[in-house]
Amino acid sequence: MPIQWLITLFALFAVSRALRAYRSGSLDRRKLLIWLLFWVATVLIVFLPKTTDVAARILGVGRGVDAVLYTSVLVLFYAFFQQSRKTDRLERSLTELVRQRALEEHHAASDRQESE
Amino acid sequence: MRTIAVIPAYNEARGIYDVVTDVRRYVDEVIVVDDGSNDATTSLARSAGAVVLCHSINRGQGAALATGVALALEERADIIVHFDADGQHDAHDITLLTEPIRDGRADIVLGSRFLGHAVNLPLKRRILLKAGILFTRFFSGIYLSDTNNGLRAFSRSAATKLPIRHDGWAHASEILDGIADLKLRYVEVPVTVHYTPYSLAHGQSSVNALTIVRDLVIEKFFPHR
Repeated sequence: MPIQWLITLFALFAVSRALRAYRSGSLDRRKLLIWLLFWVATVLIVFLPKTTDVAARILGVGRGVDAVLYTSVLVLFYAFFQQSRKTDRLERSLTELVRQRALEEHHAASDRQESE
Repeated sequence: MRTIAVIPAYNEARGIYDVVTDVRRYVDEVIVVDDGSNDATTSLARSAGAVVLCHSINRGQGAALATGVALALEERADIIVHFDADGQHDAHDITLLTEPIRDGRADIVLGSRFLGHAVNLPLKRRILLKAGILFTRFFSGIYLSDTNNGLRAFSRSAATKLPIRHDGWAHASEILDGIADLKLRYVEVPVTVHYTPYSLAHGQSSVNALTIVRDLVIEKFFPHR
């Protein structure tokens, strides 16, 4: 089926990206490993869809593909939630930094004025 | 009692000089927080006699207020007044606003445009504000005739106990939640708010209202600390 090859191509692309990021130092070894495993698993599932039927039976879902889709959506939503929390924390730290700098500049300026 | 006004300003060169000049007549010190403006806000505010703090990048109105409050507390303010830079508030309301704190009747005083005068308030904005009031009743459980009004006064202890953590517009509702949580004594006083095309363009848009709701709902169910 063409879709299997398309997904495989995409997985290869994603893996090459992950490797490149690892070489440039922006991805650490643990994360590289996780992503490699993820894409390998994806390709396996694409070519051997029956493997997911076990999971489907345990979860009480009709088809393996459905089980994969449901879990993916859940994981994606949760990842998005975590990501937005992370951004919030970053924003807060950034504000704190900007605030400290503004106050320090003010104090430095008023110290200069006093010594003049 | 030492009263310090904090005015957050983002690209307010057009009106900031007059606002600072007006406000200075009613307080001991004016602190303007230039929130990363790329116009002459800082120099104009300084020449009008304000102490100016500069955010090197724009962080939002709540963030700017919190920076100004931090300095006001350092400078031994007994009363801290929040005032908008866009000229929508009347400086002479400050006397009425700070009175309940001077008399020891309240920790926080909130300006209410619906007890006072809302000059040229467009209908769309009025509906939005009323919705905000209902939202506050539901979430904070405190009854007010107005919410999201930028004119307020804090006693020193209230400003210390209730830090502003929301960088954006939601800080206004955050303050109300804080009042409810910390059981602070609050009163509303009537104030005048002037709606001009300038102040409307600089205020919150209707889309922002949705962002505020989203932020606060998230905050309710997943507290930060």
